[in-house]
Amino acid sequence: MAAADMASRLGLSVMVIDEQGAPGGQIYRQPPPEFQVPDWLTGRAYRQGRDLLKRIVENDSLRLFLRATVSGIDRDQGGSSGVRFKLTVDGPDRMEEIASQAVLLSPGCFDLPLSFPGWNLPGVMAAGGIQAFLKSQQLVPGTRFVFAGSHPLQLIVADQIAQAGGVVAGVYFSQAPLHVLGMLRSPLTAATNADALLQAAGSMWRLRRAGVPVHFGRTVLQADGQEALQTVRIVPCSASGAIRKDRAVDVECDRLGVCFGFLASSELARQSGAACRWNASRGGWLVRHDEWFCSSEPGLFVAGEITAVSGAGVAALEGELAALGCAIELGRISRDRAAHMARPLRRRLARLTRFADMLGELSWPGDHLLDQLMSESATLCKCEELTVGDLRALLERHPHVSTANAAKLLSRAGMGLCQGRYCQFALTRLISRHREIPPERVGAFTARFPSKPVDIDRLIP
Amino acid sequence: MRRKQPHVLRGGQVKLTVNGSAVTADAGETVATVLIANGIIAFNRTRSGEPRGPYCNMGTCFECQVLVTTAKSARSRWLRACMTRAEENMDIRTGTRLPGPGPIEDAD
Repeated sequence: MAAADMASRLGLSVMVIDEQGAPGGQIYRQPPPEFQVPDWLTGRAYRQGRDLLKRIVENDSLRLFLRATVSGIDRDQGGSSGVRFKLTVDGPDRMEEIASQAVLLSPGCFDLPLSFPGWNLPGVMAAGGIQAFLKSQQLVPGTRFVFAGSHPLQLIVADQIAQAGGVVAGVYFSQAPLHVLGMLRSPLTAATNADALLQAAGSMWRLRRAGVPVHFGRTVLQADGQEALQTVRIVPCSASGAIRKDRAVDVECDRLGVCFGFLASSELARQSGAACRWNASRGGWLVRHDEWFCSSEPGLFVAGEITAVSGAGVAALEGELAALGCAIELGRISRDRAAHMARPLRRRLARLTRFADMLGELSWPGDHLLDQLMSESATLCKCEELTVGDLRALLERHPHVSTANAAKLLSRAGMGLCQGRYCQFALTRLISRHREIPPERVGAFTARFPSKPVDIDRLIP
Repeated sequence: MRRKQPHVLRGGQVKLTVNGSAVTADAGETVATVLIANGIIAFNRTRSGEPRGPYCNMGTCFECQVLVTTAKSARSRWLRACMTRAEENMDIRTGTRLPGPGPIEDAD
């Protein structure tokens, strides 16, 4: 949104392609047009985004292409003037081709899927998914909720559920409380990001006042139920991530919100050949970029979580810088002028990035804990129904297999409907740790067209 | 499971069927919302028969797929419940096995 707003102000002709039915992404996910929700995202932390959303919707020169999924990005071979990319878009009615001179990818992220036994039971959901039901659909999507994870988002979602009348049976953080106090280690960083901290602190205070137990040093071990979620097994875990199965407690609930962080949606960038790097705690495969947020592919820009999961504030600033980068590339602005405009943006970005780095470090559950949760019976690839044990056995049987692609070809892991989004992280870690090689050598799944499943009658009319 | 009422003004209503039963939804709701509001959380079954329900609620996980027949098209389609708006006269089937390669099972 910030990139489109800036690019439009710089005089570029801009189209925004968004899979959702309204702009706003996930943070500012809007209620449907039929609803009137006067108290929608009224908090201070949301104010800038709401203003931006208003500008986007009211900007007649922007073309919004909604309910549309970019299935593929190709270099244009035709050589017509200035056109460099051809985007194949799965629109609301048909496949369409969009030509453009530059592409800016800002696909955001999705909740990190953690493989533990029972994570596929109906009722186990991403904490972000539960929040989207509240925020956009105005639905409390269950009766009795438990939240478990390592990311502070779960405090905010639990608070929102409780305020909307849902019962929250408990919120469990895997970190020790002392670890969370580490957030205040750098007073300057904390003070300059007061809004985000105040939001989390406010949620904590309201939950405690409402009698909702918020525990630290506890993790979900497994989820159980016949046909749907009925209980969640909670166990103590130490600062090093060691769990105590002998002290397990079963908590009754019909919804579990899982909140261990986020993965960047880098598949379109990888499909286009953009160089990536691996960072497990900041989104998995992240796209490399220069100071104007151009990837290794000329004309292909990136902004937001795809460069490292850092939240909406960082995403907006990166978007503005990337828009300036596009304008330089397309000759609409001089490099000097752009550098001048970028200066205050870069200063704010540096400050917010420090906070995001701290939050990322704080929210990472740790390899040791993840290893223990990924027990043999846990589903690793949910689409092809393969367990952690299946993949470990495959690695034992085939000692030469050491890449994600090779494991995929032998097992079908990553070939299902989600296109590997929900197993790549677990599989990459599994191979990396099993073979004792860095994730960069395990490599990413080769991303191919279409980025998401498309009905065959749309491709072959 | 409840629709937030205070401070939310809703538009009209749509009538549709879920597994053959008549259901009323608020205009603008997704199929996922309609199902959950009606007490359904298991949306489909995997090829091996395991129940599955919505996970991400933003169109990435494909766990919430259901068979949907609309007034516009004659045949049913697998659609992501979280990305599909409930429409008048829609018919939604839950609990159906997902198609795909693998051992051939008897049809439900």
